[in-house]
Amino acid sequence: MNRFKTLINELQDNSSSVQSRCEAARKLGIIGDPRAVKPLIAALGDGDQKLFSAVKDALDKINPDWRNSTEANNQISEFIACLIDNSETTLARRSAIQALREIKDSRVVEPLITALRDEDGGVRSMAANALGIIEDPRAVEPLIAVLRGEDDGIRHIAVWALGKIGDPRAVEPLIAALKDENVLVRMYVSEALRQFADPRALEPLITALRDEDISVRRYAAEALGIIAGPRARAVEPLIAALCDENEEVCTSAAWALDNIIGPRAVDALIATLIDRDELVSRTAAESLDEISPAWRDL
Amino acid sequence: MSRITELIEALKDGDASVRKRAAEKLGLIKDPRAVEPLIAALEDEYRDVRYAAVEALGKIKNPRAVEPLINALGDWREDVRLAIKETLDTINPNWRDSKEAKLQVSEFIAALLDEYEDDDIHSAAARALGLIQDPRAVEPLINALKDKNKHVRYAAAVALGDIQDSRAVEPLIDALKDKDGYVRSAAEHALNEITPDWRDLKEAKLQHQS
Repeated sequence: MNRFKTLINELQDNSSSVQSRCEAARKLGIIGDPRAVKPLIAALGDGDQKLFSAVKDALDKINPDWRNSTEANNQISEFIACLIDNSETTLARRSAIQALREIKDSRVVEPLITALRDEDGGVRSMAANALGIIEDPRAVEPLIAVLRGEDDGIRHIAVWALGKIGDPRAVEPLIAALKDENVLVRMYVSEALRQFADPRALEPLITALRDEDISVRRYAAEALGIIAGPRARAVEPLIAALCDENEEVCTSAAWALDNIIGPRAVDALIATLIDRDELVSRTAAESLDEISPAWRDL
Repeated sequence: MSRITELIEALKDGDASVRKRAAEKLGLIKDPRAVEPLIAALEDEYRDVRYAAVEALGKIKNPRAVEPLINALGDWREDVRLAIKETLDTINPNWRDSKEAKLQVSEFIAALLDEYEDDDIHSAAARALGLIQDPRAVEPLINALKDKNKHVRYAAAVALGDIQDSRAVEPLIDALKDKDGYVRSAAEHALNEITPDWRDLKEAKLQHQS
Protein backbone atom coordinates (compact mmCIF):
# COMPACT_ATOMS: atom_id res chain seq x y z
CA MET A 1 0.00 0.00 0.00
CA ASN A 2 1.22 3.46 -0.80
CA ARG A 3 -0.04 5.77 1.92
CA PHE A 4 1.68 8.86 0.55
CA LYS A 5 0.02 8.42 -2.86
CA THR A 6 -3.29 7.88 -1.10
CA LEU A 7 -2.93 11.22 0.68
CA ILE A 8 -2.16 12.96 -2.61
CA ASN A 9 -5.27 11.36 -4.13
CA GLU A 10 -7.37 12.50 -1.18
CA LEU A 11 -6.04 16.04 -1.62
CA GLN A 12 -6.87 16.06 -5.32
CA ASP A 13 -10.30 14.44 -5.04
CA ASN A 14 -12.79 17.17 -5.96
CA SER A 15 -15.71 14.96 -5.03
CA SER A 16 -14.38 14.48 -1.53
CA SER A 17 -15.37 16.70 1.41
CA VAL A 18 -13.36 19.86 2.06
CA GLN A 19 -12.60 18.57 5.51
CA SER A 20 -10.94 15.38 4.32
CA ARG A 21 -9.00 17.30 1.67
CA CYS A 22 -7.79 19.76 4.33
CA GLU A 23 -6.81 16.83 6.51
CA ALA A 24 -4.79 15.33 3.66
CA ALA A 25 -3.07 18.68 3.12
CA ARG A 26 -2.26 18.96 6.80
CA LYS A 27 -0.71 15.49 6.86
CA LEU A 28 1.29 16.17 3.72
CA GLY A 29 2.66 19.26 5.46
CA ILE A 30 3.75 17.19 8.45
CA ILE A 31 5.32 14.52 6.26
CA GLY A 32 7.37 17.17 4.49
CA ASP A 33 7.98 15.18 1.32
CA PRO A 34 8.80 17.53 -1.60
CA ARG A 35 6.78 15.34 -3.99
CA ALA A 36 3.69 16.92 -2.42
CA VAL A 37 4.61 20.46 -3.52
CA LYS A 38 3.24 20.19 -7.04
CA PRO A 39 -0.21 18.82 -6.18
CA LEU A 40 -0.48 21.23 -3.26
CA ILE A 41 0.25 24.27 -5.41
CA ALA A 42 -2.31 23.08 -7.94
CA ALA A 43 -4.85 22.77 -5.12
CA LEU A 44 -4.39 26.48 -4.33
CA GLY A 45 -6.68 27.16 -7.28
CA ASP A 46 -9.53 24.97 -6.07
CA GLY A 47 -11.53 27.84 -4.67
CA ASP A 48 -12.37 26.82 -1.15
CA GLN A 49 -11.09 29.19 1.54
CA LYS A 50 -10.49 26.51 4.15
CA LEU A 51 -8.64 24.29 1.74
CA PHE A 52 -6.66 27.28 0.50
CA SER A 53 -5.27 28.09 3.92
CA ALA A 54 -4.65 24.45 4.80
CA VAL A 55 -2.71 24.02 1.57
CA LYS A 56 -0.74 27.21 2.17
CA ASP A 57 0.23 26.05 5.67
CA ALA A 58 1.34 22.69 4.29
CA LEU A 59 3.47 24.34 1.60
CA ASP A 60 5.09 26.64 4.14
CA LYS A 61 5.96 23.59 6.23
CA ILE A 62 7.43 21.57 3.39
CA ASN A 63 9.41 24.39 1.82
CA PRO A 64 9.19 28.00 3.07
CA ASP A 65 10.55 29.07 -0.31
CA TRP A 66 7.88 27.18 -2.30
CA ARG A 67 6.87 30.35 -4.15
CA ASN A 68 10.18 30.23 -6.00
CA SER A 69 10.03 26.52 -6.78
CA THR A 70 9.90 25.10 -10.29
CA GLU A 71 6.52 23.63 -9.42
CA ALA A 72 5.15 27.08 -8.56
CA ASN A 73 6.63 28.54 -11.70
CA ASN A 74 4.90 25.93 -13.84
CA GLN A 75 1.61 26.24 -12.03
CA ILE A 76 1.56 30.05 -12.49
CA SER A 77 1.14 29.46 -16.21
CA GLU A 78 -1.85 27.20 -15.49
CA PHE A 79 -3.49 29.78 -13.27
CA ILE A 80 -2.91 32.60 -15.75
CA ALA A 81 -4.34 30.44 -18.54
CA CYS A 82 -7.42 29.84 -16.40
CA LEU A 83 -7.78 33.54 -15.56
CA ILE A 84 -7.73 34.65 -19.19
CA ASP A 85 -10.02 31.85 -20.36
CA ASN A 86 -13.45 33.47 -20.55
CA SER A 87 -15.13 30.12 -21.02
CA GLU A 88 -14.05 29.14 -17.50
CA THR A 89 -16.50 29.55 -14.62
CA THR A 90 -16.15 32.78 -12.67
CA LEU A 91 -15.47 30.72 -9.56
CA ALA A 92 -12.49 29.06 -11.23
CA ARG A 93 -11.18 32.41 -12.47
CA ARG A 94 -11.58 34.06 -9.07
CA SER A 95 -9.79 31.12 -7.48
CA ALA A 96 -6.97 31.49 -9.98
CA ILE A 97 -6.53 35.11 -8.91
CA GLN A 98 -6.49 34.09 -5.30
CA ALA A 99 -3.74 31.60 -6.01
CA LEU A 100 -1.73 34.02 -8.14
CA ARG A 101 -2.02 36.69 -5.46
CA GLU A 102 -0.45 34.23 -3.05
CA ILE A 103 2.45 33.27 -5.30
CA LYS A 104 3.17 36.93 -6.16
CA ASP A 105 4.97 36.43 -9.44
CA SER A 106 5.62 39.47 -11.62
CA ARG A 107 4.32 37.57 -14.67
CA VAL A 108 0.78 37.94 -13.37
CA VAL A 109 0.73 41.75 -13.36
CA GLU A 110 -0.31 42.19 -17.01
CA PRO A 111 -3.14 39.61 -16.90
CA LEU A 112 -4.40 41.15 -13.68
CA ILE A 113 -4.41 44.61 -15.26
CA THR A 114 -6.52 43.18 -18.08
CA ALA A 115 -8.81 41.60 -15.50
CA LEU A 116 -9.57 45.08 -14.07
CA ARG A 117 -12.01 45.36 -17.00
CA ASP A 118 -13.43 41.85 -16.69
CA GLU A 119 -17.14 41.18 -17.13
CA ASP A 120 -17.36 39.68 -13.66
CA GLY A 121 -17.40 42.11 -10.72
CA GLY A 122 -15.78 39.60 -8.42
CA VAL A 123 -12.91 39.08 -10.84
CA ARG A 124 -12.46 42.86 -11.18
CA SER A 125 -12.31 43.50 -7.45
CA MET A 126 -10.02 40.55 -6.79
CA ALA A 127 -7.72 41.75 -9.56
CA ALA A 128 -7.51 45.23 -8.02
CA ASN A 129 -6.86 43.73 -4.63
CA ALA A 130 -4.21 41.37 -6.00
CA LEU A 131 -2.40 44.25 -7.71
CA GLY A 132 -2.23 46.00 -4.33
CA ILE A 133 -0.75 42.90 -2.75
CA ILE A 134 1.78 42.31 -5.51
CA GLU A 135 2.85 46.00 -5.39
CA ASP A 136 4.18 46.22 -8.91
CA PRO A 137 4.54 49.82 -10.22
CA ARG A 138 3.20 48.79 -13.65
CA ALA A 139 -0.24 48.72 -12.04
CA VAL A 140 -0.19 52.40 -11.00
CA GLU A 141 -1.60 54.02 -14.15
CA PRO A 142 -4.28 51.36 -14.71
CA LEU A 143 -5.38 51.69 -11.08
CA ILE A 144 -5.53 55.49 -11.41
CA ALA A 145 -7.73 54.94 -14.46
CA VAL A 146 -10.03 52.78 -12.33
CA LEU A 147 -10.15 55.48 -9.65
CA ARG A 148 -11.16 58.04 -12.28
CA GLY A 149 -13.60 55.65 -13.92
CA GLU A 150 -17.16 54.72 -13.06
CA ASP A 151 -16.78 51.22 -11.64
CA ASP A 152 -17.99 52.11 -8.15
CA GLY A 153 -17.67 48.53 -6.95
CA ILE A 154 -13.88 48.64 -7.14
CA ARG A 155 -12.81 52.31 -7.13
CA HIS A 156 -12.08 52.19 -3.40
CA ILE A 157 -10.07 48.98 -3.86
CA ALA A 158 -7.99 50.72 -6.52
CA VAL A 159 -7.36 53.51 -4.01
CA TRP A 160 -6.29 50.99 -1.41
CA ALA A 161 -3.98 49.33 -3.90
CA LEU A 162 -2.45 52.67 -4.90
CA GLY A 163 -1.72 53.41 -1.25
CA LYS A 164 -0.15 49.99 -0.90
CA ILE A 165 2.08 50.41 -3.95
CA GLY A 166 3.11 53.87 -2.69
CA ASP A 167 4.08 55.29 -6.05
CA PRO A 168 4.14 59.17 -5.97
CA ARG A 169 2.29 59.31 -9.32
CA ALA A 170 -0.82 58.43 -7.35
CA VAL A 171 -0.70 61.46 -5.03
CA GLU A 172 -2.39 64.06 -7.27
CA PRO A 173 -5.27 61.78 -8.32
CA LEU A 174 -5.74 60.72 -4.71
CA ILE A 175 -5.87 64.33 -3.50
CA ALA A 176 -8.48 65.08 -6.13
CA ALA A 177 -10.47 62.10 -4.88
CA LEU A 178 -10.69 63.55 -1.35
CA LYS A 179 -13.74 65.38 -2.75
CA ASP A 180 -15.22 62.21 -4.28
CA GLU A 181 -18.93 61.62 -3.81
CA ASN A 182 -18.33 58.02 -2.80
CA VAL A 183 -17.64 57.93 0.93
CA LEU A 184 -15.79 54.62 0.68
CA VAL A 185 -13.43 56.20 -1.82
CA ARG A 186 -12.82 59.22 0.43
CA MET A 187 -12.15 56.94 3.37
CA TYR A 188 -9.52 54.88 1.55
CA VAL A 189 -8.03 58.04 0.05
CA SER A 190 -7.49 59.66 3.44
CA GLU A 191 -5.94 56.43 4.67
CA ALA A 192 -3.69 56.21 1.61
CA LEU A 193 -2.60 59.83 1.95
CA ARG A 194 -1.55 59.10 5.50
CA GLN A 195 0.97 56.66 4.04
CA PHE A 196 2.31 59.08 1.44
CA ALA A 197 2.83 62.00 3.88
CA ASP A 198 3.14 64.22 0.82
CA PRO A 199 3.11 68.02 1.52
CA ARG A 200 0.79 68.64 -1.43
CA ALA A 201 -1.95 66.95 0.59
CA LEU A 202 -1.75 69.43 3.47
CA GLU A 203 -4.57 71.85 2.61
CA PRO A 204 -6.93 69.18 1.20
CA LEU A 205 -6.46 67.12 4.38
CA ILE A 206 -7.23 70.15 6.54
CA THR A 207 -10.47 70.51 4.61
CA ALA A 208 -11.11 66.78 5.11
CA LEU A 209 -11.02 67.28 8.89
CA ARG A 210 -14.58 68.56 8.42
CA ASP A 211 -15.73 65.65 6.24
CA GLU A 212 -19.12 64.18 7.15
CA ASP A 213 -17.56 60.73 7.59
CA ILE A 214 -15.83 59.79 10.85
CA SER A 215 -13.16 57.58 9.26
CA VAL A 216 -12.23 60.26 6.76
CA ARG A 217 -11.81 62.83 9.56
CA ARG A 218 -9.82 60.38 11.60
CA TYR A 219 -7.38 59.35 8.87
CA ALA A 220 -7.04 62.99 7.81
CA ALA A 221 -6.03 63.95 11.34
CA GLU A 222 -3.48 61.15 11.50
CA ALA A 223 -2.14 62.03 8.07
CA LEU A 224 -1.63 65.63 9.18
CA GLY A 225 0.37 64.37 12.16
CA ILE A 226 3.02 62.84 9.93
CA ILE A 227 2.82 64.95 6.81
CA ALA A 228 6.01 66.52 5.51
CA GLY A 229 6.21 70.30 5.03
CA PRO A 230 4.76 73.30 6.91
CA ARG A 231 2.75 71.38 9.45
CA ALA A 232 2.13 74.38 11.71
CA ARG A 233 -0.73 75.26 9.35
CA ALA A 234 -2.48 72.12 10.62
CA VAL A 235 -2.23 72.93 14.32
CA GLU A 236 -5.29 75.14 14.62
CA PRO A 237 -7.62 72.86 12.65
CA LEU A 238 -6.34 69.89 14.65
CA ILE A 239 -7.05 71.67 17.91
CA ALA A 240 -10.56 72.23 16.66
CA ALA A 241 -10.71 68.51 15.87
CA LEU A 242 -9.85 67.75 19.51
CA CYS A 243 -13.45 68.61 20.19
CA ASP A 244 -14.86 66.43 17.41
CA GLU A 245 -18.15 64.73 18.31
CA ASN A 246 -16.43 61.37 17.73
CA GLU A 247 -13.96 60.20 20.33
CA GLU A 248 -11.72 58.37 17.86
CA VAL A 249 -11.30 61.51 15.82
CA CYS A 250 -10.32 63.38 19.02
CA THR A 251 -7.75 60.72 19.84
CA SER A 252 -6.28 60.86 16.34
CA ALA A 253 -6.13 64.65 16.47
CA ALA A 254 -4.35 64.50 19.84
CA TRP A 255 -1.93 61.96 18.44
CA ALA A 256 -1.24 64.22 15.48
CA LEU A 257 -0.67 67.21 17.73
CA ASP A 258 1.67 65.06 19.84
CA ASN A 259 3.70 64.52 16.73
CA ILE A 260 3.73 68.15 15.67
CA ILE A 261 4.23 70.07 18.89
CA GLY A 262 5.23 67.41 21.39
CA PRO A 263 3.28 65.47 23.98
CA ARG A 264 3.68 67.80 26.96
CA ALA A 265 2.41 70.77 25.02
CA VAL A 266 -0.63 68.80 23.96
CA ASP A 267 -1.35 67.58 27.48
CA ALA A 268 -1.27 71.11 28.74
CA LEU A 269 -3.37 72.27 25.84
CA ILE A 270 -5.99 69.62 26.41
CA ALA A 271 -6.09 70.51 30.09
CA THR A 272 -6.70 74.11 29.14
CA LEU A 273 -9.39 73.19 26.67
CA ILE A 274 -11.09 70.60 28.81
CA ASP A 275 -14.11 72.80 29.11
CA ARG A 276 -15.59 73.29 25.67
CA ASP A 277 -17.12 76.61 26.59
CA GLU A 278 -13.68 77.81 27.38
CA LEU A 279 -12.57 76.68 23.95
CA VAL A 280 -15.21 78.90 22.53
CA SER A 281 -14.00 81.80 24.62
CA ARG A 282 -10.33 81.35 23.86
CA THR A 283 -8.99 80.69 20.46
CA ALA A 284 -6.73 77.76 20.06
CA ALA A 285 -3.96 79.95 18.84
CA GLU A 286 -3.99 81.93 22.06
CA SER A 287 -3.68 78.78 24.12
CA LEU A 288 -0.75 77.66 22.12
CA ASP A 289 0.90 81.03 22.38
CA GLU A 290 0.88 80.56 26.14
CA ILE A 291 2.19 77.01 26.13
CA SER A 292 4.68 77.08 23.35
CA PRO A 293 5.26 80.52 21.87
CA ALA A 294 7.53 79.03 19.25
CA TRP A 295 4.81 76.91 17.65
CA ARG A 296 4.38 79.24 14.72
CA ASP A 297 7.94 78.48 13.66
CA LEU A 298 7.33 74.74 13.40
CA MET B 1 13.79 -29.63 -11.05
CA SER B 2 17.07 -28.32 -9.68
CA ARG B 3 17.65 -28.18 -5.94
CA ILE B 4 17.64 -24.41 -6.01
CA THR B 5 14.25 -24.30 -7.71
CA GLU B 6 12.98 -26.80 -5.19
CA LEU B 7 14.09 -24.62 -2.30
CA ILE B 8 12.54 -21.56 -3.92
CA GLU B 9 9.30 -23.50 -4.35
CA ALA B 10 9.51 -24.55 -0.72
CA LEU B 11 9.29 -20.87 0.27
CA LYS B 12 5.62 -21.18 -0.70
CA ASP B 13 5.00 -24.44 1.16
CA GLY B 14 1.91 -24.69 3.33
CA ASP B 15 4.04 -25.56 6.35
CA ALA B 16 5.72 -22.57 7.99
CA SER B 17 8.63 -24.60 9.30
CA VAL B 18 9.37 -25.83 5.74
CA ARG B 19 9.33 -22.24 4.50
CA LYS B 20 11.65 -21.16 7.30
CA ARG B 21 14.20 -23.92 6.63
CA ALA B 22 14.11 -23.18 2.90
CA ALA B 23 14.91 -19.53 3.58
CA GLU B 24 17.80 -20.47 5.85
CA LYS B 25 19.27 -22.80 3.24
CA LEU B 26 18.93 -20.24 0.46
CA GLY B 27 20.90 -17.85 2.65
CA LEU B 28 23.71 -20.36 2.90
CA ILE B 29 23.78 -21.07 -0.83
CA LYS B 30 23.69 -17.34 -1.76
CA ASP B 31 22.33 -17.95 -5.25
CA PRO B 32 21.12 -14.62 -6.73
CA ARG B 33 18.02 -16.34 -8.16
CA ALA B 34 16.77 -16.60 -4.57
CA VAL B 35 16.71 -12.82 -4.02
CA GLU B 36 13.23 -12.07 -5.43
CA PRO B 37 11.54 -15.07 -3.76
CA LEU B 38 13.15 -14.14 -0.44
CA ILE B 39 11.93 -10.56 -0.89
CA ALA B 40 8.43 -11.94 -1.34
CA ALA B 41 8.91 -13.94 1.86
CA LEU B 42 9.37 -10.66 3.77
CA GLU B 43 5.57 -10.52 3.75
CA ASP B 44 5.09 -14.03 5.11
CA GLU B 45 2.51 -14.19 7.86
CA TYR B 46 4.89 -16.07 10.19
CA ARG B 47 7.51 -14.21 12.12
CA ASP B 48 10.05 -17.05 11.89
CA VAL B 49 9.84 -17.14 8.09
CA ARG B 50 10.19 -13.37 7.76
CA TYR B 51 13.14 -13.42 10.15
CA ALA B 52 14.87 -16.21 8.19
CA ALA B 53 14.27 -14.37 4.92
CA VAL B 54 15.86 -11.20 6.31
CA GLU B 55 18.86 -13.13 7.56
CA ALA B 56 19.22 -14.88 4.19
CA LEU B 57 19.08 -11.60 2.30
CA GLY B 58 21.79 -10.29 4.63
CA LYS B 59 23.99 -13.17 3.61
CA ILE B 60 23.36 -12.81 -0.12
CA LYS B 61 23.97 -9.02 0.11
CA ASN B 62 22.23 -8.19 -3.13
CA PRO B 63 21.49 -4.44 -3.43
CA ARG B 64 18.12 -5.17 -5.04
CA ALA B 65 16.95 -6.15 -1.56
CA VAL B 66 17.54 -2.69 -0.09
CA GLU B 67 14.28 -1.08 -1.14
CA PRO B 68 11.99 -3.96 -0.04
CA LEU B 69 13.90 -4.26 3.22
CA ILE B 70 13.42 -0.56 3.92
CA ASN B 71 9.72 -0.95 3.14
CA ALA B 72 9.58 -3.89 5.54
CA LEU B 73 11.00 -1.82 8.41
CA GLY B 74 7.45 -1.30 9.61
CA ASP B 75 7.25 -4.98 10.63
CA TRP B 76 5.26 -5.25 13.83
CA ARG B 77 7.82 -7.58 15.44
CA GLU B 78 10.71 -5.80 17.04
CA ASP B 79 13.24 -8.61 16.46
CA VAL B 80 12.40 -8.65 12.74
CA ARG B 81 12.80 -4.86 12.51
CA LEU B 82 16.19 -5.02 14.20
CA ALA B 83 17.27 -7.89 11.92
CA ILE B 84 16.26 -5.79 8.91
CA LYS B 85 18.32 -2.87 10.19
CA GLU B 86 21.34 -5.16 10.67
CA THR B 87 20.89 -6.57 7.19
CA LEU B 88 20.60 -3.14 5.63
CA ASP B 89 23.77 -2.06 7.44
CA THR B 90 25.49 -5.13 5.96
CA ILE B 91 24.32 -4.59 2.38
CA ASN B 92 24.79 -0.81 2.28
CA PRO B 93 25.97 1.12 5.35
CA ASN B 94 24.63 4.33 3.76
CA TRP B 95 21.12 2.95 3.23
CA ARG B 96 19.62 5.74 5.34
CA ASP B 97 20.65 8.31 2.74
CA SER B 98 19.13 6.36 -0.15
CA LYS B 99 16.21 7.70 -2.15
CA GLU B 100 14.17 4.66 -1.09
CA ALA B 101 14.69 5.49 2.58
CA LYS B 102 13.55 9.10 2.03
CA LEU B 103 10.44 7.95 0.19
CA GLN B 104 9.66 5.38 2.82
CA VAL B 105 9.91 7.99 5.57
CA SER B 106 6.84 9.63 4.00
CA GLU B 107 5.02 6.29 4.12
CA PHE B 108 5.78 5.73 7.78
CA ILE B 109 4.84 9.26 8.80
CA ALA B 110 1.61 8.84 6.85
CA ALA B 111 0.98 5.58 8.71
CA LEU B 112 1.67 7.28 12.03
CA LEU B 113 -0.82 10.04 11.16
CA ASP B 114 -3.49 7.67 9.84
CA GLU B 115 -6.22 7.70 12.47
CA TYR B 116 -7.93 4.71 10.85
CA GLU B 117 -4.95 2.46 11.54
CA ASP B 118 -4.59 0.64 14.83
CA ASP B 119 -2.06 1.21 17.58
CA ASP B 120 0.18 -1.66 16.44
CA ILE B 121 0.67 -0.04 13.05
CA HIS B 122 1.30 3.34 14.67
CA SER B 123 3.88 1.87 17.05
CA ALA B 124 5.65 -0.07 14.29
CA ALA B 125 5.74 3.03 12.08
CA ALA B 126 7.21 5.07 14.92
CA ARG B 127 9.93 2.48 15.53
CA ALA B 128 10.72 2.28 11.83
CA LEU B 129 11.11 6.07 11.71
CA GLY B 130 13.56 5.76 14.59
CA LEU B 131 15.60 3.24 12.63
CA ILE B 132 15.73 5.42 9.51
CA GLN B 133 16.65 8.48 11.60
CA ASP B 134 15.33 11.08 9.18
CA PRO B 135 14.88 14.51 10.84
CA ARG B 136 11.47 14.92 9.15
CA ALA B 137 10.15 12.32 11.58
CA VAL B 138 11.01 14.32 14.69
CA GLU B 139 7.93 16.57 14.85
CA PRO B 140 5.40 13.80 14.17
CA LEU B 141 7.11 11.59 16.74
CA ILE B 142 7.02 14.40 19.31
CA ASN B 143 3.27 14.61 18.69
CA ALA B 144 3.02 10.83 19.12
CA LEU B 145 4.48 11.22 22.63
CA LYS B 146 1.00 12.48 23.52
CA ASP B 147 -0.86 9.61 21.85
CA LYS B 148 -3.64 8.10 23.94
CA ASN B 149 -2.13 4.63 23.58
CA LYS B 150 0.83 3.82 25.82
CA HIS B 151 2.49 1.50 23.28
CA VAL B 152 2.53 4.30 20.72
CA ARG B 153 3.94 6.76 23.26
CA TYR B 154 6.61 4.21 24.19
CA ALA B 155 7.54 3.61 20.55
CA ALA B 156 7.76 7.35 19.92
CA ALA B 157 10.09 7.83 22.88
CA VAL B 158 12.37 5.00 21.77
CA ALA B 159 12.41 6.33 18.21
CA LEU B 160 13.29 9.84 19.35
CA GLY B 161 16.20 8.32 21.27
CA ASP B 162 17.30 6.63 18.05
CA ILE B 163 17.14 9.84 16.03
CA GLN B 164 18.87 11.94 18.70
CA ASP B 165 17.52 15.30 17.60
CA SER B 166 17.74 18.05 20.23
CA ARG B 167 14.22 19.29 19.39
CA ALA B 168 12.97 16.22 21.26
CA VAL B 169 14.64 17.06 24.57
CA GLU B 170 11.89 19.22 26.08
CA PRO B 171 9.01 16.99 24.97
CA LEU B 172 10.87 13.96 26.36
CA ILE B 173 11.41 15.75 29.67
CA ASP B 174 7.64 16.27 29.73
CA ALA B 175 7.21 12.55 28.96
CA LEU B 176 9.09 11.74 32.19
CA LYS B 177 5.76 12.54 33.84
CA ASP B 178 3.86 9.98 31.71
CA LYS B 179 1.44 7.86 33.70
CA ASP B 180 2.96 4.69 32.24
CA GLY B 181 6.23 3.44 33.73
CA TYR B 182 7.56 1.97 30.47
CA VAL B 183 7.03 5.26 28.69
CA ARG B 184 8.80 7.12 31.49
CA SER B 185 11.85 4.85 31.37
CA ALA B 186 11.93 4.94 27.56
CA ALA B 187 11.88 8.74 27.73
CA GLU B 188 14.73 8.76 30.23
CA HIS B 189 16.73 6.35 28.10
CA ALA B 190 16.09 8.48 25.02
CA LEU B 191 17.22 11.62 26.83
CA ASN B 192 20.46 9.90 27.80
CA GLU B 193 20.96 9.03 24.14
CA ILE B 194 20.39 12.59 22.98
CA THR B 195 22.34 14.52 25.59
CA PRO B 196 23.88 13.48 28.89
CA ASP B 197 23.24 17.04 30.08
CA TRP B 198 19.48 16.77 29.96
CA ARG B 199 19.16 16.89 33.75
CA ASP B 200 20.71 20.35 33.77
CA LEU B 201 18.23 21.43 31.11
CA LYS B 202 15.40 20.07 33.20
CA GLU B 203 16.61 22.06 36.22
CA ALA B 204 16.85 25.18 34.11
CA LYS B 205 13.34 24.64 32.82
CA LEU B 206 11.94 24.16 36.32
CA GLN B 207 13.66 27.29 37.55
CA HIS B 208 12.34 29.17 34.58
CA GLN B 209 8.82 28.08 35.45
CA SER B 210 9.03 29.00 39.13
